[in-house]
Amino acid sequence: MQGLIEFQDLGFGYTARERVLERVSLVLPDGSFHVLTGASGAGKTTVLKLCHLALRPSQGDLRVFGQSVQGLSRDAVTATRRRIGIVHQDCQFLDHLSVRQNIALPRYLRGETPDHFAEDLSDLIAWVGLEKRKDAMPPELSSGERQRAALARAVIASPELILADEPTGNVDPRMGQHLLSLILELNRLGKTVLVATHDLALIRAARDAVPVRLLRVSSGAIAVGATL
Amino acid sequence: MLGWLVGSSAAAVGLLAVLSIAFGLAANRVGERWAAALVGSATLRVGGPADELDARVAAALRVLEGTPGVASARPLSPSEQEALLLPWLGDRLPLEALPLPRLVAVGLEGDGPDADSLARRLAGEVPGAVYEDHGRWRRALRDAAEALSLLAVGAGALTLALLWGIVSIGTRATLDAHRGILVTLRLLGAKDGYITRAFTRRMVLRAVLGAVLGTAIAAGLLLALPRPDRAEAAQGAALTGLIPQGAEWLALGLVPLAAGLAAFLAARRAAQQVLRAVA
Repeated sequence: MQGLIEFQDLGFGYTARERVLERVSLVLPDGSFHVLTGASGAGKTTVLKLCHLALRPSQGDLRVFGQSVQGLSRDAVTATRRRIGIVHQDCQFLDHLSVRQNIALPRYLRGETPDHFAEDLSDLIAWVGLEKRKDAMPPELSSGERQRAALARAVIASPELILADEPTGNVDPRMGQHLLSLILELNRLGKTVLVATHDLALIRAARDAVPVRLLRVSSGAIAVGATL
Repeated sequence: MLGWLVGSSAAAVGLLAVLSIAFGLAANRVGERWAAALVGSATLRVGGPADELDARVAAALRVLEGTPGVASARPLSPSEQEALLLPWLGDRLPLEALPLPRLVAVGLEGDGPDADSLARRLAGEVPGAVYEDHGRWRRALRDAAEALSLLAVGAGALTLALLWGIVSIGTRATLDAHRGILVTLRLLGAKDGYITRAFTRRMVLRAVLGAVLGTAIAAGLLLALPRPDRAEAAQGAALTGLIPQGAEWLALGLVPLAAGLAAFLAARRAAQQVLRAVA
């Protein structure tokens, strides 16, 4: 089976002696919704970083969009990343740019001018409910607002794959549900989604809404179809 | 802060580079002028007891008149000789009382006389006569002018190398201080070229603006130097002839461009090296 993301006997460690992942094989099919769970420090963020090409496997192979990441040039890495939207745990905004400019950043970086994406930007800001905060600076936002802005930034360039690292980690349950509904909507629109979380309520709510495959990271392995 | 450092360093570099180039051009110009003044002429020095000098000069003139390559020969008058010695000895010495040799100004044609053959004839017929064709002075002047010009070019190149170093350090420090931004931009799909251009552009702009300021200050200083009058200029006044002339100003105008190029290459290289460490 060929998927958007394929781990083939993949191993990874930050040091030669300590392995975070060991001989992991995994396929994320196009349009699927996966939830990655596990204890803190188990390697959830590492898996997302590998998928986003911020880390390279120490062993085995990783194929993203059918292409092996081994030996990819820096420009090829950039081209691959442009097909991926990511929501970081800490959001990673540029604090000297407004919320609107931060959300539009992926389009700027593709060389597009604001008149090309002004309508998309307005629609997205409305979709995540940040119309009144669009001109604020990132440090002025609440946790929920930051997560919504990060989600908007992740999808503004219409990526095929969305990676989200603890998207509801710092928000109240109501805001968590709201963020989940936005992510589910993206999946219904055909986007492949991989969410790393240990928020059980979020996982249950997602399972009630769409077919979700649960992945549990533990002791260097990833168990597919694990139960809660 | 780093931007100011790069800008002010570029200003200092621009100023120093312009002054060195101006010195080099002036040295070359003065050297060429002096050498040109010595082309086509030679000097015959006739020494000996005072009561024999007139006869020896007359004998020397006879030798010179029949020598191929000599166009003219004219003994300098006592007042002309005094005028030559005045700058060296001052006006307090009674020059007329000194046992000075007599000088004969020799005008040359073509490649001038065969110096060895002329020297042999003079040795035989005019005791105490020494022929100097100015060639070694011309060569010495040219060599000195060329050495000064090379020195000036070297100083200019050194200042640009200094700017290279400052811009490299400035770019690295700026990128290190904004590492979080670099990482975010890379992860959001920015190409290395985009990030490099963004940081390089700022550094080059500051370097060029600084160098323009330094060049303008140096040009102002050069213009403020006392200008040589015509007579001084004809004599090749060295210190007052530093003001660039004509197209030489254009050469000085290239300093900000050279500074911009050095800053661009340094900033781009530094940015590329820093970016290689970002995933």
